Amino acid sequence: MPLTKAIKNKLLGLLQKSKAFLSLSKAEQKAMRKRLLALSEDKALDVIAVLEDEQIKTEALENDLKTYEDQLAALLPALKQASSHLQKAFIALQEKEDSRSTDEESQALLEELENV
Amino acid sequence: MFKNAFTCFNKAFGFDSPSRLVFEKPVENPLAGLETQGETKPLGQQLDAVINTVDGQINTIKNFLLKNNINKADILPAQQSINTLENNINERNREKTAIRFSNDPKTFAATANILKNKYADVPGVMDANGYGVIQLIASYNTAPDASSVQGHIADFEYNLNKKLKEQGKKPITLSLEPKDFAATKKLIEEDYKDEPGATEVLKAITAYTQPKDPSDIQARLVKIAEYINDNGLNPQQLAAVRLSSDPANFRSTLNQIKNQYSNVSGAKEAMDTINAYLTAHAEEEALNDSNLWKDSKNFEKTAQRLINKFGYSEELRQTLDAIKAYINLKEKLRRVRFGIFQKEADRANMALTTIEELNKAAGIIEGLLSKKHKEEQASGVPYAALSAPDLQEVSISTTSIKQRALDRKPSEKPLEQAREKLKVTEIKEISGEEAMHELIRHALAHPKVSVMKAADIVPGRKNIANLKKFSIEESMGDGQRTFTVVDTNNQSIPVTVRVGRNNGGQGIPVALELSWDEKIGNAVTTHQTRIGLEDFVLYSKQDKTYGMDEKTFKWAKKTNTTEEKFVDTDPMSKAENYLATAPAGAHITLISGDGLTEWRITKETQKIGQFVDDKGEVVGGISPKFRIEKRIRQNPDDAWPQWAVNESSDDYSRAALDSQSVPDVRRNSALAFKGDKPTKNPDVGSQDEKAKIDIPKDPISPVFSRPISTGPTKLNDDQGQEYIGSELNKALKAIVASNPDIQVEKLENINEHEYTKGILRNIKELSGYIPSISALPNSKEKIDKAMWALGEQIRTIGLTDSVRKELFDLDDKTFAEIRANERIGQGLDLRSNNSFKFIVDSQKGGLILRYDDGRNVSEVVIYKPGDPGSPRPLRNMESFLN
Repeated sequence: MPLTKAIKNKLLGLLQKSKAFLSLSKAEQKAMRKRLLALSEDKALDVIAVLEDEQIKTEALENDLKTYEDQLAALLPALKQASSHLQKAFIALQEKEDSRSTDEESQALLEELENV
Repeated sequence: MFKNAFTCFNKAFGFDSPSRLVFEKPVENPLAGLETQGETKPLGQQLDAVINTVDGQINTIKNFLLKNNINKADILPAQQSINTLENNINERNREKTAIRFSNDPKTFAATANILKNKYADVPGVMDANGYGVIQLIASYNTAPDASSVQGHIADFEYNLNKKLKEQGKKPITLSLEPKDFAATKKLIEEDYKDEPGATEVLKAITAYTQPKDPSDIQARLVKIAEYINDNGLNPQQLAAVRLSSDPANFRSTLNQIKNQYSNVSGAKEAMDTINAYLTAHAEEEALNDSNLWKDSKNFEKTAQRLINKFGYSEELRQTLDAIKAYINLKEKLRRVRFGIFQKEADRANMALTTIEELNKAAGIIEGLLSKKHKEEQASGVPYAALSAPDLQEVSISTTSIKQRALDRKPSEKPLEQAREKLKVTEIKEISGEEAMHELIRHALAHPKVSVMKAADIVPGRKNIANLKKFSIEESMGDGQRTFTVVDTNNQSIPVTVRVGRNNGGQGIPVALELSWDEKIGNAVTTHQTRIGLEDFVLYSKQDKTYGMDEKTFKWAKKTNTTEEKFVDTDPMSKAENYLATAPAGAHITLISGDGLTEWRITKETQKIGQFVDDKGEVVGGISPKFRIEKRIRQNPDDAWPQWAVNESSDDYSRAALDSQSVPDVRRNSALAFKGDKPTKNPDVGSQDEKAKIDIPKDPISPVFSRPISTGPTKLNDDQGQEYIGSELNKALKAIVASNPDIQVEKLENINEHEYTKGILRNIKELSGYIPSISALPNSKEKIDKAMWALGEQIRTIGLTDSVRKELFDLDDKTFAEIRANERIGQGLDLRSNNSFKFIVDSQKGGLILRYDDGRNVSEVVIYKPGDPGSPRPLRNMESFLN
């Protein structure tokens, strides 16, 4: 028994939203669509359930991915900031070491002069 | 001193201008130069650029801290004390063996003889003018001429008697015997002193009887002895001792002093200063370990050690805090990237599942058509005629969908995701140790490994397929790992696994190369084999998209035996899966239901996955090639003719089969798979449904360049025995008593080998068992063997949770995570948990117990040679030992 128009429309609508279906070639989509529309109502409803399930899960995954991608994007300025802090801290450390080294050299020179 | 550091720092940031050497003010934009004007790079590239830059920056800082701050003074005291000790030793040796000549004139002749025979060339020994010491001694020892004395006495007696006769006195008689010269002298001195000639006689007698002065000779002998000693002419003299003051040799110098010169003045100071240097140097090396600068948990300890070493300063603390903040961010980045990959994989799997479901739904139609097909066949219409073209459109292989999911163009998703996906296929990224563990287990369970069985005819060869357990012992850098594989005899075999990659090492793994050494006596035999593993190298729990899924894998790894799971309602699907993942050379055989036609699909070349260029762009891949052959016989009882070889195809799908006049068995119930009845589960399926999969015996020949030996010597018959904690003494006794290579010596004779002592102490501490006879290995090999055996026995002991927690200094949260991951019962059985390893590394640390679950790493040095505090086993482990 042919599918009702409502089921057909539902099925076709879901197929158009299905990323899996859309990943097929046009010829494959055509053949698949033809076969699915020829299904019995019970089987078509099963397929609809599959497609709806895909849609729900895919949306959840997309949301998760979006969250991750937002986190990824936020990491770039954070890393740049961390790098900037690191550089400044290192420069300060170097200057301190340099200063200490200079002090030691000066002290050594003074002692040397005193001994002359 | 700091100019180099500034230069490196500038280069790390792309500041090459010399003027940047002076940092008057902090740089405003540390990342200047990373971004090209007017061009926005993809996020992934920007992140990578920052990571690369800051990693270089941290390396510069590390070098600055460690290299520019090494306290050179640590070396000098050690070197000075070594030189002092060396002088003392040589002085002592010189004193001990220096030649000296006796002052006693009685020995002058013997001395002269020695000098003449051994030191004739020494100045002062012989002299052309007769003044050499030998000549002087000869002269010294020559007795004066008695006859001249006698002549003087006779003359004196004649003149005296002549006078006495004139005076009418009685003449006297003077003895001419030399022994009487003294009496004669006395007589003359008393009675005839004033007589003419008396003085000459007395002089002659005095000259004859008075000893000569040896002082000149004695002085000369002293000088000659000095010359001989100073110039090393004495063959008995010890060669000068040289103690290396090269810091690289300090450890051996220390042992040399300890073993040979500990009682020489200055030895203690030398040992103390060397030990001080070695301790400081070990600290430097430890701090230089890059792993301590990558992990946030480790780095906090590193930071504290750096502060301890260099002293606290606000600048240092801020630098270290900045590094730690960066490490945390980097770890977060890694987690986020991996999360993205997982979601990508889930999304691809979702698409795959949907397509499979749609195919399955469409298959209902196929079933109907198949039914029609049967009817038509029953009516006499040949089945080949039922290869309806419209059915081909329905055949959408899951393999092609998978490939599509993998081959999505980079433009469809952020570039870093594509790159991340490839990273996930790298060993480190799959899931750490656990994934690698899985990997090697799968590798060894793979049908191809069964080719090793072919070498069973070689006596004593290892059958790796029978290996019992695996543990990662040491990381050897990217792409290569070393495992220790313990076989069913509890023998330990180190196996190095190198992952071959396509695309110049950047692409996905394509093969595992395994090599392992076997040692018999002193001979080491290296074995190698190569296994094409693209199917399951890519498999992991987190990654079902690539290659096999878990279910398929479980099936495939058993295909070297009759496998009931293969009998399924959709055998072609399984066959497809098999061919998709099987190694090159594998084939399946299909037979028509009437038994007259047979097809063979052989996988000629392996599929090589994506090739990705340096920018992460997918540039292509190599599809597998399949050869499809067919043969027909007239009657089911006839022998099969030769296969008719057809052209190879990169597809074995229905279309390909059709092109070879091979019907699509999946939709043609007139066709069936040929095969034997399953042996394990005969109730499943029927003979008709069973497919026979022929696994190639040796599709890629392993390289066994030399005969395979028997592996490590078996230590004792009790090796298969398990010991519980309370039986440790028994276990140790078994090790000690049953190893014929272990030497038995008395306790007091072993103190010359620190290593040996450590083992003995270990045994004692571990067991409380003081052997009446001590098992004392006396060579490195035996020591290692004993250490291994000791570790093996410790491994058999269960550790309670509380002991583990204390032993590895784990905080509550970490420990809870570990326990959750282990999912084991009470306590821990080291035998069944590969997170624990005993590592025998005499160079680094001796015997190390390491806990590494892929996320948490902790080590306890059980015994460290040369460490006065060693062994420290097991101070923390006493509770479980008791």
